[in-house]
Amino acid sequence: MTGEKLLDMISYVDPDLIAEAENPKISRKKLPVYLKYGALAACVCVAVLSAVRIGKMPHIDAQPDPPVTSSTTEPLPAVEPDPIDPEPIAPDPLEPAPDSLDPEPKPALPEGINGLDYVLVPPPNPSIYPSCEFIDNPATGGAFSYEEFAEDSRYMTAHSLVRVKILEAYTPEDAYLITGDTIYLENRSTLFKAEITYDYLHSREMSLEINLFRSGSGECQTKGLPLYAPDEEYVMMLSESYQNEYYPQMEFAIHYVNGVELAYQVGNKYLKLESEFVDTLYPNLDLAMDESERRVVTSTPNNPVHYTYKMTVEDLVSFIREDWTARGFNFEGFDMPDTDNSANWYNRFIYHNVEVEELPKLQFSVPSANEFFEEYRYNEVKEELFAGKEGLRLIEFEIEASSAAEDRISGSNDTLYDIRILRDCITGENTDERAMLLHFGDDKKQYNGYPVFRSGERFMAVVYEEDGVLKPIYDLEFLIAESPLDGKEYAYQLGYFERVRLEIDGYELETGLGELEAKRRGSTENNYYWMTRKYLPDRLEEYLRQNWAN
Amino acid sequence: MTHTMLSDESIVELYLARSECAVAETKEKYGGRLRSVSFNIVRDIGVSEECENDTYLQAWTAIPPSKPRSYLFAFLARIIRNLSLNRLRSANAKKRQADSANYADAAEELSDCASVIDDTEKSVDGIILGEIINEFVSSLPEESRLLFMRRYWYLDSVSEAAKKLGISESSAKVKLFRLRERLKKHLEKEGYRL
Repeated sequence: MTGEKLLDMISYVDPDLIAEAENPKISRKKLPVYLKYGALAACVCVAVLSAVRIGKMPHIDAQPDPPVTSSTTEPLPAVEPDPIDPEPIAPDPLEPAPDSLDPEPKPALPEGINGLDYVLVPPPNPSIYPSCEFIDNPATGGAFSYEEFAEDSRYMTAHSLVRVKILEAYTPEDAYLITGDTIYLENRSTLFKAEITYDYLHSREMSLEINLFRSGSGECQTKGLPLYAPDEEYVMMLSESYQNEYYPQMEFAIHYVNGVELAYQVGNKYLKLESEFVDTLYPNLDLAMDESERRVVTSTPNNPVHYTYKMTVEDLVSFIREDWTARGFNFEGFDMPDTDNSANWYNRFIYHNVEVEELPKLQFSVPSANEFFEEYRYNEVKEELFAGKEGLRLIEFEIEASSAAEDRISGSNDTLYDIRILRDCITGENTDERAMLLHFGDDKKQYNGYPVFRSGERFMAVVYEEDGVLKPIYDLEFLIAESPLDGKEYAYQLGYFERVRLEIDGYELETGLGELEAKRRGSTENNYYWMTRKYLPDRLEEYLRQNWAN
Repeated sequence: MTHTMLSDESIVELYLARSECAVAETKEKYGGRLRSVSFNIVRDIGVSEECENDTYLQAWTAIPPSKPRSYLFAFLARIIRNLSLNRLRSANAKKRQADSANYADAAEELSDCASVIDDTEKSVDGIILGEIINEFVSSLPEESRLLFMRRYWYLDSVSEAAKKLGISESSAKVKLFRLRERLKKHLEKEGYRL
């Protein structure tokens, strides 16, 4: 029988079950408290630090390293209105211009970036398209609100929030050769070579060349939406690659002003970033804009870009991450293995296409705490877990140059690592001890969720000594890593399935595991780290230490 | 003047009396919810509206003899689900554009469970199999039951189902994986073995 036929048979379940599941009790996914306050605290810190920085620096900041855009922050004269197109682009009549009619006072940012004392400056050599037709067409087919966009995104198979640097425009002929799409020969669209330099959803730097679609060409452009210019930088939400090209769903031009990275929403629609799913207050999502910021010459003076909203990059990114996490989006999709054929992608991994198998099932004499999920309580099983294991230690360690260790593969799908023990977590003492750790997993076979470790990765783990090497207790092995949500370090319990659960009664130990954190790229292409739980490292250590003493 | 919606029982009585008001009352009471069930599968507003209309026609034909006085919504939902699945398969067969990712993924996920059922020699009694599946779903804890139903009856994506239940997507994936393992074992135990 096929899965399709089985789906048909499921039709005939009891009517009560159908009715019950139609509107299951919704307990909206709340972000953990630590995140709310952490993000708030981060905002305050950024605001204070920025204020201090700006207080110390001259009014005009130097360009940061790396340079962010072709625009500078020098206080040059404001962009003159385009003589060809003197009429401002009409805003959506259904929605008021954000800062002209909004009675709410705009939130304060550090002095000097609130839109009134600087102007954005055109690039030195903008292109001129003397015969270009500029179409006043707000009906670009995109979403009419952020909410609509976010809900539509639910059906995308890839989600991304990336920083993109424009490199160059392809000729129509090259664009056609690359994509096979004749649209580029019709002079209505242009294909750009661009580079993704940062993935905000996974907090990782990248260097990935992509092809980027832009409507418009040298002969025909939408008013307010000129072609990209080389070296411009954007925060973009890119949809899944299609025929070797990406489409920006929303884009925000990055400008660096007085020490703060600002993001300007591109387009003539007003897609205000607001969501019922976001609980954190982001004060810099809708900053006051001067008229000189609303229409800015970028690639051509004939067609200034239209900016609608202004925000800090930090708040933009934090808002999107919080919103998409709460909506339960799967961020795994934007790994781009299908389009990124560069050595770049391949070299991220030590091994490719290893066989993945499940960790052996745990069996203890006590019944599992949750029979359905076969989950055991640490306190009830620790004696059995530790039985027969000599020289037990709770240590924090770092994987050292593991490439040498990988050569000493034992022949039973194990890898022997050279590790540096950083701390003895029972005594609390820092150490600088070297040891060897034998762990299952090699270039052929690995446990699901347990890729081969990479040098530099840190762990807290209960280990024991056998045959002159340390061996881990898999259920008490924690990857110490930064959370992509708040940038703080946490101890992530590894393993695809929930297994031994550390008790949390009366102990603030476990924190909510965000969607973004559940999987993490490790060393192997088809076997990422799976996180089952997330703990505060110091509390985890304290808990295990106390438990150990008992 | 506000029109009060009729009870399910009253609507079914209209069908039994062959009153054309039955369809109008059904549409008013359940039209939106039925479209939603269909849209979840076909992802096309126009097609889901067509399925909705076909559902009323089928209901008109099926009542009587059926008398779903106490489960009218489930009765209609089952019809529209089947119609929507058929539309989706038909569109795929004709290679028309159809966003059937949820359906295809769900079917793929269940293929391993389905593989234990040998239907090559008419050995599968659909009614008994339906009962066995029903028994399995009914025996599940509430959260697992709802998750299973949202994913494999309503054909939510994993992330949609997770959101509706207020759990993380990764947790939903793990739970669904285990549910399928359980279903497979349950089917094997009940004699559906190759």
